[in-house]
Amino acid sequence: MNTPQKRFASVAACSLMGAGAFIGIDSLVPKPINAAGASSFYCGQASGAPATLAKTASGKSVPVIRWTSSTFNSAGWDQGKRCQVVSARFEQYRKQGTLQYLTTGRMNGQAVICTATSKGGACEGLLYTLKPGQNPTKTLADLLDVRTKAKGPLNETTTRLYLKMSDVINAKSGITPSPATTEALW
Amino acid sequence: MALGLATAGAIGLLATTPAVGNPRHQSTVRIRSGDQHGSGVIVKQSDGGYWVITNSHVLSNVELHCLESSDKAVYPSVKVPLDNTLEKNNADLALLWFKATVQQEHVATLAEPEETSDAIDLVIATGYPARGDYVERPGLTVPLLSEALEGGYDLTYTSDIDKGMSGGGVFDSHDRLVGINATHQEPLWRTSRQYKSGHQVSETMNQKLDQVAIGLDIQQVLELLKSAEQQIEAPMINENTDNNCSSASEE
Repeated sequence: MNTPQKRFASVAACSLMGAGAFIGIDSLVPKPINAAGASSFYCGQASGAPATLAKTASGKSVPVIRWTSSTFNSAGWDQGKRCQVVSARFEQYRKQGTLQYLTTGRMNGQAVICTATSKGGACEGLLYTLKPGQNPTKTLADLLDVRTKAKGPLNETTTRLYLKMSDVINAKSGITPSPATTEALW
Repeated sequence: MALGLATAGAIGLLATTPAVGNPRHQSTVRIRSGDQHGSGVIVKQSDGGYWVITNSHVLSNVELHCLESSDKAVYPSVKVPLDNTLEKNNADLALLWFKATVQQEHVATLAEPEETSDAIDLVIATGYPARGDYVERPGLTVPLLSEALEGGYDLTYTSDIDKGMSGGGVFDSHDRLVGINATHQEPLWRTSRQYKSGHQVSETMNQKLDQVAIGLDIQQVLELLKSAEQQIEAPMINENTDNNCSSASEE
């Protein structure tokens, strides 16, 4: 995010750019390369909920999974505990180098996301258990998308934009609803 | 900072462009699709509507995708159906269409393929981070790939890309669209990549690719538009379609 501080620093450092500068010129400066080339994982908060976060080499905190489901609470696994335990597993598997072989499988009769030790290998290390009815293949695809694709799903409690299709079909002018106060997930 | 100062003169023209009336901002839209969030660029006006390019991976499996323009106008849009040959091409691109209103929207100027080069060029990536307002991220193209990656990814550049900027524009110093964002640098965890041909990317190349944003070159956008124009008349939003840009009830 182009924070005001960053913009201010850019303008101050690059007076050549003049008063109209609004582009963070410092993003042109190469960032130090982390030889390990991977983030570290920890449990934190994202949009008011426990979340597994990745801290990137350049210092960004990026939500990976936001723990909002109470499905496992009765089994003693509330959102906070799932966050702590799964984030620790993420970090452990990162260090072991097995995160690159994520797959789906079953453990104790439940569908899980897990690691394998080789491409196409068997499900070995439990990452986390899926909710009953959750589609393992789609969940895994979504998780793999998080790795590098620059999209973000919305917070479950996001204020959505309200608009009737009929208003658009019969529109006489551009529709300008009140600004969305969206707090997004990723 | 030496590099920054050296290039500051080169982008002086861009830096003094006011945010209001900025054609890059005006043609870049926010996309909400199911529970997904991304960006897109208005690339064409025709038949009472506008066409928006974005990444396939931004779109959820829903009928209506909500767009928000730079001046906060909201439009429901539909995905333009494309034939099988295009689907087989497997590029991570999709076209949306929305109905025009009295309010004018700005269409991005598309670079001609011969206007893009393999040189190191200044670019500005645009988009709407999931947790913030519209941003512009300057960077340099760093030609690394002689062959496209899986998803058709073939444009590598140094702009700092955040989650939510997928489908946003990559513009050159003349405000021409030269590509579309797709992935950010610094993958959250390591994995291998594949070329479109199915061959594995070498470990050395993979490490280089970890350090750059990767998107799709304008060439692929132009090809998609051309094919779509040949097979499709104006896509129409069905009035019977679930009638709003929200899953929540209103009023």
